[in-house]
Amino acid sequence: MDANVVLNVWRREVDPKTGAELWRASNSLLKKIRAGEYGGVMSIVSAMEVIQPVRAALQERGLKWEEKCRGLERSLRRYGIMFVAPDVVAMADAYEYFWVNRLDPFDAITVSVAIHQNSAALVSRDRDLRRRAGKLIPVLEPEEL
Amino acid sequence: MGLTVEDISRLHKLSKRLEPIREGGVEAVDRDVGVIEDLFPKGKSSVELIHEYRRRGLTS
Repeated sequence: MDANVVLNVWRREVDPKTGAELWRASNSLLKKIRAGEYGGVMSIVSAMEVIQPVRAALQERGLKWEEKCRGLERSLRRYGIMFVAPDVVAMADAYEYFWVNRLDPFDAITVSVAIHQNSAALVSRDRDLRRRAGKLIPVLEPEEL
Repeated sequence: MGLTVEDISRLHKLSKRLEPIREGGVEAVDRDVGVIEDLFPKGKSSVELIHEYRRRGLTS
């Protein structure tokens, strides 16, 4: 699972162009993971990417971030997601995807971890990632599950 | 190539930090809907936000 799925929910995200409530399908996915209907896997790199915009935005406003971000980390832990630290082989494959599939470094790691975990699909709303990684693993939006 | 005890200690620390919290049910997800709703501009998608912070991280 990519970081943007969690942020959809935390931001109650609506597509500004279409009015589509993007958070609903993402919320439903997280609840299915929590209920054990799906196995959810996320790399620790993606976990950092969920937290990083929040930390940076709070820092930029001169607000205290640590307690808020620790609370959000606890939220992530409540969803039943399995967090994966990429091993050396996963990182080697990520490097290959960076070159061959022209993925950015973060996406290359996300894709590599998903493949190494034998995931049926990578769930993301990132269409550029989908275009580049689609030959390696199915990349689905939450509504497509 | 094996793991040192220090490596194992680091992994243990990571596993404790991201260990699943079992209590509660699916309502744990519902409670978090909109928890940072006003922190970012509504016109920017989460995909765009993450890309923006990647760029900042790589250039700052």
